[in-house]
Amino acid sequence: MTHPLRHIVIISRMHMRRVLFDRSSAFFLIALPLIIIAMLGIALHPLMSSEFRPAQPFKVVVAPTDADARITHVLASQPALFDVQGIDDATSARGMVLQRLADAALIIPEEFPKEPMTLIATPGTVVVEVLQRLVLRVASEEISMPNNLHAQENDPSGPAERAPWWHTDSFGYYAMAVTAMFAMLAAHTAMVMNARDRASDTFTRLRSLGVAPWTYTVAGAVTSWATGATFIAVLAAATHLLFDVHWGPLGLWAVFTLVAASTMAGLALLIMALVPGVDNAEGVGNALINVLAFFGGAMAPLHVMPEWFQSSLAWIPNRAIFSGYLKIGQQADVATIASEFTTLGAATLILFGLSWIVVAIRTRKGDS
Amino acid sequence: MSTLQRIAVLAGAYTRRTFLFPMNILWMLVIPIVFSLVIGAVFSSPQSGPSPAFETEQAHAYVVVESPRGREGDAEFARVRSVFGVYIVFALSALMTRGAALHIERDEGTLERVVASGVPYHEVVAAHLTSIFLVGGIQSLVFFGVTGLLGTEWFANGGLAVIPAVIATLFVGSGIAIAATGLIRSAVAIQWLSGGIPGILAMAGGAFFPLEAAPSTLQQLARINPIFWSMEALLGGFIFDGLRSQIVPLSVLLLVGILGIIIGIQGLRRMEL
Repeated sequence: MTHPLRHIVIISRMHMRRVLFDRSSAFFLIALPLIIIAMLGIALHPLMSSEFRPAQPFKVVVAPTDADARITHVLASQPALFDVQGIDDATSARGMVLQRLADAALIIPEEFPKEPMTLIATPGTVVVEVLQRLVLRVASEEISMPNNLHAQENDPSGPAERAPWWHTDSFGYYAMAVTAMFAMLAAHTAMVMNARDRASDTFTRLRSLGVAPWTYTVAGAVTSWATGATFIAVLAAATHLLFDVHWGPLGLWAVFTLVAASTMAGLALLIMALVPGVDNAEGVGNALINVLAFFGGAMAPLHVMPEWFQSSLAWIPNRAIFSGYLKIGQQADVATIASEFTTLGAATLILFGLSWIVVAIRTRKGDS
Repeated sequence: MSTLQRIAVLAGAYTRRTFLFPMNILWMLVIPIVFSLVIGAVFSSPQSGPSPAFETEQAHAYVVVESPRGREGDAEFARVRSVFGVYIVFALSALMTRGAALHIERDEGTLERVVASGVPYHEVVAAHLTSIFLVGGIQSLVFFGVTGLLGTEWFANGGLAVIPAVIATLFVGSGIAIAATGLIRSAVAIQWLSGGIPGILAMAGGAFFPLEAAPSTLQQLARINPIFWSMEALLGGFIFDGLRSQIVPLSVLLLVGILGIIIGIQGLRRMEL
């Protein structure tokens, strides 16, 4: 083994050991994501399952009592979803929602569907969406719907619904999304550890013994890559055992994991190269990762996001990782995840390329 | 110098020092504001909402959605609620981290030096606790001011819709931070918890997704979660019957806050030098 390569292996092994056996790493990189996956998996399981049923049926008041019988009939035919009550006038119906005696009120005009009905409920709640869908279904059976609505309603393979997150349960979703998020944190943590050493006299001593600065930087990237890959493997095994999450065929999963870890290492290296000061880089990196995690779907589920948010951010590395794992978990072949491989490959090249440029410039300025 | 003066001077110094660290500025102010901008952008888009298909004009031909009071400002609720959720997470995290500063001083020996110079221990503790409220207050003012300027319509339904919920959240957050400071002697442990607990409480309290879709056990558990009551206070003030709808959640928050302060102070008394 040549000297620089030997140095890289020794430094990386030492840093990896420190990251993996650190108590705070065990909490933040293993326990915390598992708690989050468990919590969100349980909380959003009813919402993400194909047969959505609320814990208690939604209390819906319909006014007037002699309103369009089809709506009342459809509501009443789903007792697990709706607890329907007729009421004479619209004001009382609204009053019941205002006093929180009902979740929603439907005020149905005599001329429906020529005139729209009014749905009274707290904006942004699940009952609003469920009732909207139901009303549109009833209306579409009665009259010819405009083309685009028909397309959205009847074609389950619309742009958003083709996305892999529509075909998984809440545990699968959050296991993969949170893994993608925390893989970034793991890679970043390893890079921070490397940078801390570089800022200490440990590095000075090693330099005096002949270790070149670039060796330390490369060792940081290698540690970051290995930590990211190890972290993903640990979390994949843990979520499989605890939550029965299926990560797909091992071979494809392993290749994808190595590529994903490379992208994470590139990101960590670029953050460390761009932000002066280890503490600053650590803080900025953690902040950036949190923002990326939001865009990647690791916080609020992508299902509730606007369509542009779901479809136009596929280039974000952690979104590509998330999407790739979902597809692999759904037994996709290599061709199906080619776009994710391409995205991650390109991102890795760009991130490492930019890092190299920044490090080179800073070294030339004597800043390194 | 009188007791109150000493407490005020120390609290001012602790608060000033908190905001002198760039990382504190980043995590207490910049990141929450950036997050609120991102979330605000998502919820202010013309295509926003859970199902974009229904946001089309054609959909409005069949069903028109109204809030219970039918006010124009109610349309802002989705955005206000999300940004408020972001505030809660970062406020609680900042307050807990600020509480840990007392233990950092103890570890570094600064606390002993201050006490040795003649300032009674209880005054130092009082100054730290005051500083928790001050830091939270400054963070709230900046957060709500900047996000308001950047487009979140906090006062779309009047100031009373939001202000009581914010004050009560700040109070209960401070109470939780004081309780954590009194119960846990390790600054590192508190900092760990401040990185994880606020987010988990916020998720379980319905700050980021509606709990009506959650299993009934989680809905029941939410009732012992102060963040659930903060969100209820906001919902009551913004959408329902104003202060009348807020009485129960505000009372719960006040009670939890007081309980936290009592527990925290009792714990800190046991650590007296």
